[in-house]
Amino acid sequence: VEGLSHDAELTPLQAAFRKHHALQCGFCTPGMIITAHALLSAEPEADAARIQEVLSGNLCRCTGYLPIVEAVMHARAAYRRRP
Amino acid sequence: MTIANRYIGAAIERVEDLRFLRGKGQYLDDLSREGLLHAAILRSSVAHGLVRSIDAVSALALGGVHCVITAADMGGAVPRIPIGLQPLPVLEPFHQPVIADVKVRYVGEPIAVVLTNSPAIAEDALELIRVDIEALPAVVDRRQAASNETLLFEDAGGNLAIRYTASRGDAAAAFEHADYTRQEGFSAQR
Repeated sequence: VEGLSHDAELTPLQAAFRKHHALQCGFCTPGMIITAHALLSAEPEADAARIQEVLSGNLCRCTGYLPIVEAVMHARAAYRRRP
Repeated sequence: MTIANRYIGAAIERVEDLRFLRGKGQYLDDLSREGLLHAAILRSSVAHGLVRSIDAVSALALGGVHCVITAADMGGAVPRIPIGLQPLPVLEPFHQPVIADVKVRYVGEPIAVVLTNSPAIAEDALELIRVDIEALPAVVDRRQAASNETLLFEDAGGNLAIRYTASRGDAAAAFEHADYTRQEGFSAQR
């Protein structure tokens, strides 16, 4: 996750996590971000069920998962625009 | 006079999110100090029993193990954990020890603490400690506890720590004039 954003700006995925309150203590966040990044890089059209399935290997005790799924859904647009 | 607020109704971004999102969050496990030791706690797998012996010789022989602390190292009476909410003298005979001494009274009660150079060594050291516990009947529900057939704290003379009632207003009159009354028993898991 340290290599995801090389400059001061958050990536669209990281920004979506912040906007949607998809983290609290942040302990699971690197795993969530990298897993979601891998998913959206390969499947930018992934729906909520697919996102839940792929993220299911990561445990989060703060958020209840819904904000995380919302954040990933929100970030899809940025991955669609990629070449 | 009105006071403008910037928070209610506004989407507030958390200041701490940036480090978490960039993988720069720091947690207790990331703490590293000169001479830092790691602790692991050996816990009882028996609900109720007498601690016959604790053999830490093999654990102490493992490289990186600094010490193994048991009740015997407390130097006298093992401190008891006071009750923070409503501390009452009548409850004192039931205060649990900070570490099991002659008995264990629940699964998970601390029996020994190992201090080591690394968390991994601490976990390994726990497996090398041999504990001999003579199992006693477990007390798992209120009725069994009330029978006093098996005492958890012998010095208390019984398993009943306290009996109290609470009421507010004229409950008796309210029940007397109620169109419908019902009596139920409730139980909690602890």
